[in-house]
Amino acid sequence: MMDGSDAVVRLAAVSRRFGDVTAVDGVDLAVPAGSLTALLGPSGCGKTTTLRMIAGYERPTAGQIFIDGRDATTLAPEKRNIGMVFQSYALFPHLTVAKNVGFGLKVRGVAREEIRTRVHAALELVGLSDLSGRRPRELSGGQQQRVALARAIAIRPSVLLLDEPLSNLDARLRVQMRAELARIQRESGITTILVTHDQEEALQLADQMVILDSGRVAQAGHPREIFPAPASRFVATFLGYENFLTLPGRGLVTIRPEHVEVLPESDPDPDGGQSRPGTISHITYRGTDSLVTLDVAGETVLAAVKDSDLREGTRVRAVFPDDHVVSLPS
Amino acid sequence: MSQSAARARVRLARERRPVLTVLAVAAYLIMIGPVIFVVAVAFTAGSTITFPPEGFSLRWFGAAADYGPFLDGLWTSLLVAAGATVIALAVGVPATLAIHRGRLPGRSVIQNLFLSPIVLPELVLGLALYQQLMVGLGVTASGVLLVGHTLLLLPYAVRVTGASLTLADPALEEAARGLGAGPVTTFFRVTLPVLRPGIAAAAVLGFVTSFNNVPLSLLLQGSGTATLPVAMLQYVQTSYDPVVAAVSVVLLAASVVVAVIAERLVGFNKIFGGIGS
Amino acid sequence: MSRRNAVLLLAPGLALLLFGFLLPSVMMLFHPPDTPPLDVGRRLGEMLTDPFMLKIIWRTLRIGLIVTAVCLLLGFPVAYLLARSTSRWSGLWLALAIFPLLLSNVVRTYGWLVVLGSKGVLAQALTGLGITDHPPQLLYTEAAVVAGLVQLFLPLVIVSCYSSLSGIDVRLEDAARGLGASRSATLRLVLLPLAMPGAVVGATLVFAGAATAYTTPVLLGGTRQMMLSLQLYNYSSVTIDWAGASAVAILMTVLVFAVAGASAWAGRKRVTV
Ligand SMILES: Nc1ncnc2c1ncn2[C@@H]1O[C@H](COP(=O)(O)OP(=O)(O)OP(=O)(O)O)[C@@H](O)[C@H]1O
Ligand SMILES: [Mg+2]
Repeated sequence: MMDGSDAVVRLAAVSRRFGDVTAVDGVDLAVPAGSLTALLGPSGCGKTTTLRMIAGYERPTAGQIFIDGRDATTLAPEKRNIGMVFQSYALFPHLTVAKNVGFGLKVRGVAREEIRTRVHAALELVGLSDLSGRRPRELSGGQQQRVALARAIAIRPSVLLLDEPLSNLDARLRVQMRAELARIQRESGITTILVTHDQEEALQLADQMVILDSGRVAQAGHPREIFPAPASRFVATFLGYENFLTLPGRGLVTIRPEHVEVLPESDPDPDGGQSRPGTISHITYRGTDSLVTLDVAGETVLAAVKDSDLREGTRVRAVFPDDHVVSLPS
Repeated sequence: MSQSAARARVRLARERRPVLTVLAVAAYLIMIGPVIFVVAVAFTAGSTITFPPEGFSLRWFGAAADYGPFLDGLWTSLLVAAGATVIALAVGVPATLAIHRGRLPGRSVIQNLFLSPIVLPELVLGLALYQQLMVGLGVTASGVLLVGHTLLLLPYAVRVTGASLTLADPALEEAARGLGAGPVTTFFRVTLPVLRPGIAAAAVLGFVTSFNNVPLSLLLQGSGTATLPVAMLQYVQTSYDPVVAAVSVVLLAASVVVAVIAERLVGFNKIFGGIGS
Repeated sequence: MSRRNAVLLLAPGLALLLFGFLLPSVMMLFHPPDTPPLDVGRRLGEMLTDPFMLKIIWRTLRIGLIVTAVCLLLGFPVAYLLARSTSRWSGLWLALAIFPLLLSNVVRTYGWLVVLGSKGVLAQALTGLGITDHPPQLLYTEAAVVAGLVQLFLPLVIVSCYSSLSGIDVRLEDAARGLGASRSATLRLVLLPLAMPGAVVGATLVFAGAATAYTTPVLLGGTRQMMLSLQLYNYSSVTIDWAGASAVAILMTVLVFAVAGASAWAGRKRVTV
């Protein structure tokens, strides 16, 4: 998958420095045709910078960028045929929705009749065909977002770049637009790179997940490969693994709180797992479950436990089932 | 890649805009260039405006100080500018308060009326005052000069203080009243401090505008009421020696001082660029 | 604030405007001193058929328009580069563009006497470089007046374009480029329409200032480049022809208002297409 042979976008050892800051540091990346790749990582890890280099707004200080097999490292943005949706949408305030969506076609010299049909098709795809005469300021946040998406899609880009497209929306709209985005990407089949710092979004949408840590690729692969097997403590933390401990015979391991079982102290060791005695130091009720904080030989272990009659201060046994324990390089 | 090579690449990456840059350089040359040549000529030892200057001397500064009309003009200019600024603020600030807080009908009509002197060409305003007040009613030249300059500054006073008043939250005053302050206390403790930057900006702007004005001062000059710019203009029209260059250098230095004061008070770009107001 | 207090606060200003501005202005139109009624109208009619006056009107309009165009051409790039600059010196450059506004017009115009005079910078450069032995007359030409007025009014255009441009999100330009627009297409389709309101304000101020300026035309153009402002001064202070002065004042005011109205209209039309 990562060999880059059918890659629409390929980054080879791309770096970008701003003075003393290295925003992107030797990133290799291949985005297969028709796929959705999610760039994921904490704030300041270089996601936007990577995207802007692919779009041509920044130039790498080292490395090369290939688009459709051509070296595009120093190509001007307007020559790349890339559809970018900005975090702030960047809709032209003086143009109507239809003129915004048709902008890229107009500057390409597409015939007026064809612009009309393609603008209509793009607006149809995002479900906004009846708002084509409005100005951006007369639209809600979600509608502006769709216009920005339609504008990027209308030029039939080689690749669609989305920089945190959902972060300006409220929680409910975000979930709705996420599904919408998945549908639009599937229907249009456009190769897409999505920047997000929301792991759930990435897990749900991506064919390929690329986790960045201070400008470097920490891990890349399909969500189903990465989620159960984080390769480092950084990736594990980012994906919601909250327990890090050393187990005999396995070294440093991590396990998600919902996989830690809490049994009475007197129970025997279950099959296929290790267990440790500990004390419950705190319980937080969370509705569907409770988060139990355990003190296991001086180490803190979190366990998410369904219906329980556990009490703070009780001695218990924390069980770590083998098939949920992930070994980490120490 | 070596560090210097990396840096070179970064510089390459920044897009250059040769056409815009050439035009911008031309703009700065036109704005600043002639002024620099004036400074050079002011220190000439020769007796005509010649470039490059013939030797170095301070004789033209001495000549300027000895030329009566310049000193008289400077005095007149300072008096008129100070007087007009004070009157324009004394009349304009209360009017601004009434316009913004008075809940009067036809508010925008009143506001536009106060801003209107600025839309009439200064020469036309000067002519009207000259004809009607000075010649028609026989008001003294200095009186009409003061009225003219005050009218010229009134729009600035109303607009600049108005801008800082609209920025201020009216709830501030309501809060003060709610906390038990009477209207007078509220004015002096809340409204006036809010207005202070606006008043300071209007004062600096007004003083400079009045001091530099030519059209009004020229039309409204009586015997002994020529301002410094008018005296300079009339000097340049009749003789070709560099004495005005020396005066110009003094005015340039004074302008730098004013700019520094403006920067300390409210911010130079804010006052003179109207930026942010 | 009670309505009565508001009226009291307004009263001094209103009195000043009424007796110092409105009445004198209106009286100037209908009743200049020592003038029979309706004489201003008669003079105005004569001027509009007098080839000499028509030439002056045309020159005033032409110089005003040329100065406005040059100021926009040079000032817009400065404003754009300043608005987009990330350098920490950009504030200082902006201040340098604004600073000339503090300096007397007489001083700024005097600079052109040094540059364009018969022994000035340009003449010396031309002879020094061996281009010509007899430099052409540079002062008292229309070009000299234009140069002086451009210097005077560039800061106004820069300031008004700057405030428009710095309000335009850089990402709009990025978006346009990404959609395939070249730099010039981005300028034409995105920046200019959005900067239009500021540019129109700036242009209107420049035209009004340039078409009514006195100091610069009198020093750099003199009587060889008569403009309406010089004519007004002649009538009012040299020949004491009150009706003539009033008539020229009307011509000047109408010219300024007509051009301001036209540019506001054109600007609005441009933005809504
Ligand atoms: N133009 C610039 N000049 C200097 N430093 C920059 C510039 N752009 C980005 N950086 C720096 O590069 C690093 C990466 O920035 P980037 O915007 O790519 O992060 P990000 O992953 O998109 O973060 P966020 O999730 O907050 O958007 C940061 O340390 C940032 O301060
Ligand atoms: Mg970002």
